[in-house]
Parts: sequence; C-alpha cells; structure tokens
Amino acid sequence: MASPEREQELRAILRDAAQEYEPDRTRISNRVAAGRTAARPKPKGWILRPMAAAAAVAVITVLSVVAVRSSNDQVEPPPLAGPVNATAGPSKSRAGSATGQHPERPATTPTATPPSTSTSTSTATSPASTTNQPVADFLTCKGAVDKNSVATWSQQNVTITTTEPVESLTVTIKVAMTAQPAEAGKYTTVPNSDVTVTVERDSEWLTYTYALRKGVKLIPGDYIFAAQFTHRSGRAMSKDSYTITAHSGADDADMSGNFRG
Amino acid sequence: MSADADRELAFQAFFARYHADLARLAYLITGDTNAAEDIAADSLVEIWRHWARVEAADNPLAYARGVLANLARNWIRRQSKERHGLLNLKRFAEEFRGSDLPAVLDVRDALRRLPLRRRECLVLRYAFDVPEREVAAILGISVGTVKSQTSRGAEQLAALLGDATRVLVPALEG
Repeated sequence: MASPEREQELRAILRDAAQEYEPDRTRISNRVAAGRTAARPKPKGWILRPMAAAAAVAVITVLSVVAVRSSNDQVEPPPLAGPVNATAGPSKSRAGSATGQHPERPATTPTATPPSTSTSTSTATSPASTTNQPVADFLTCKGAVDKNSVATWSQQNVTITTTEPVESLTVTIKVAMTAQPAEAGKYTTVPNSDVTVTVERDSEWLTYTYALRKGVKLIPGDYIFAAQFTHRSGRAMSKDSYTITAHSGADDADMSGNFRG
Repeated sequence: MSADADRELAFQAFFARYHADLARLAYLITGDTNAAEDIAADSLVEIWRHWARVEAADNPLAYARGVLANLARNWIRRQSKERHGLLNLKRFAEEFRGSDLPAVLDVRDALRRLPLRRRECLVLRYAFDVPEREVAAILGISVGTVKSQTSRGAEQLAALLGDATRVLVPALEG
C-alpha cells in the first residue's frame, strides 16, 4: 500500500503526464468529420422505403414546410451563448474539473482579443469585391467551403499559393452573422509558431485573422487557412468573404473574394 | 430539422469540451499520441452515432470514457499481436533490455508496464480523479476490483518510478 504522501505524489505525476500532452484538435476534428461522413447511412432514404408513395409525398411536404420554417427562424433573437453551454448541464460533478483541464480552449471572447491592426484595411476591401480567384505576381488564392461542412457546422477555407518568399501576410475570413454562427475552431497549415490567429466577434461579423509573425518569412508553397463554426441549418454562405494582404520584396498583394460551395 | 440542428450543436459543444480530456485519457492508456488522437476521434464518432444514448446517460462524459476505454483496449490488443511480427523485433529487444535497466523509466514507460486493467483503473482514479463507482461503470467491473487494481497499480508504479529516481548515477547506456 502506497503511503498517503506517495499517493498524492503519484496523482500529481499522472495528472502532469496527462496535461503535458496537448492533443491536436484539428487532427481529431478532421478524423471525426471523416468518420461521420463514413458512418452516415443513406440519409432519410431508408425511412421512406417502407412507406407507401402517398405517405412519402406527405413526408416531403412536411420536410419542406419545416425547411421554410427553419429559414424564417433566423429572424428570431439569437439564444446564442445558450446552446453551447446548454450541454454543460448533464455531468455535474465531473464537469467542473474537466473544463479546468482545457488550457487550449482558445480565449476567443470578443473582449479578450485586441482589435487587430488589419481590420481597417480588410473592411475597406472585403464586402464589395466578389472575385473568386484573384491573382498577384507572387500569390494566388482561392476561397472554398470545405467538403466536410454539414447543415449546422461549416468550414471556410482560403488556400493561397505563393511563388516568392512572403515577408508579411494577413488573411482575414469574415463570416457574416446570419444563422447564428459561433466559432468552433480555426487552423492553418502555416506552422503554428509562425502565425497569430485571433477570432473577433461583433454584431455583423465573426472575424478570423491569421497574421504572419514579424520577422518570419513564408517559403513558397500552398497554405490553407480555415475557419470553423457552428450555425443554424440552412445558412447561406454568400456574404462570407476573405481578404489577403501580403508583401514580398517590392510587391504587394491585396486580394479578396467569397467562398464557393 | 431543428432536432438535427440541436443535436449538432450539442455534439459540437461536447466535442469542444471533452475532446482533449478524452485524447489525454487515451494517451495515458496507450502511451502513443497519434493513437490517442485517433482513438479519441473514433470515440467521438461513436458518440455522435449514438447521441440519443449519450443524452439519456446521467453522465455523458463517463459514457464517452467507456467507449474510449474499449477502443483503446482493442488498439492495444492489435499492437501486441503485431509485436510478434518480425518488424517489431527491435522494439522487443529494446523492451527486453529495458527490463534490465529500469533506471530510465519515465511515467509513460512505467505506465506501459502495468497490466492493462491496473493501468486503466489507476489512470482514471489518479490522473482524472474519477470516483471509484464511476470507474467501475466505465470499465464494466466491480467497485472491489477497481479498488484492488488501483492500489496494486499505484504500488507497482511507485516501485517502477521509485527505482528510477533512486538511482543517482544513470546506468550505463548500451
């Protein structure tokens, strides 16, 4: 039998061993998305099969009524903080300590992140332009809705390809405040130590900003910047946009665009 | 439709809140970060598929940990089967040598030496502070077994780590 002191020591050692490991959220999230796609059975089809044709028509009618209703729902006042915390309820005693163990949960509270310096430039260029594949001498980019997006969870991807070393780069993804978007993750294939990523929220936009750190040079290649968020179903992506400001040698690039489904 | 949306939101919240916790549990059980992330993700997919059961459970996290412990156990079984393969001779040799030289054991190595049941009980009880009754439910064993396995696990781990810390001069490396 270990002594009480030894037991405390072992507890501390094991807790530390668990906390020292920072799981890769993106990797887990991607595998979950892939697993869900694979697991999804022929969606509503099998429910319809045993039914008589007439009943099927009735179901379809109901579904479309529901669809119309849920798109009207968007006008309702948002119970926003609600749904995310709602599930906090079920596991009372364990929940408290479990949340305490999430140092990586990003400090994305709008007030916590200082307004980024790029905001003024990006708002100036973003909403109007609708070019989808802009080109500069050293940089091309593309905005696309990620194929793993589902009715109530989406990911917007901005992919850039650079042919020269880039000395400064800011990518901003603006998600319009329709259908109650709430931040659910963000990532980039640029090494994490080379970028700062912030998410800000105001009445109009959920804004993800990826900025290359000062002094870092991005070698030529393809890079992805992704914004993940939950939302109510039936959300239109048309208002979402991105802007890119980059600098390479004597060249500047200033681009913007929307996301293709 | 809105039931789907609610379910999705609830699942996303569950993911945000517990994915790291689950991955860490898998990590301490398997000792492998890649496997830990895969196992955590696969558990979350299972949880999403059986969301109704999760919501019906009084303790969704305990339910999730049970799913995860099963998948981790399967992974370990597959690993130990592979270990008999030629490809793993090297690792085998390392472990053999390791048993002679317990001086360099870190927590992860030490944990790996515990029989799986002890390891599961000890990790849940000590690293995650899960009550005995809950551990019993998660692993599908009796509270008595949880008690005895945890205390044997603690003793064994203390001995393994103790040996390592008591050696002042590191044993000569091969």
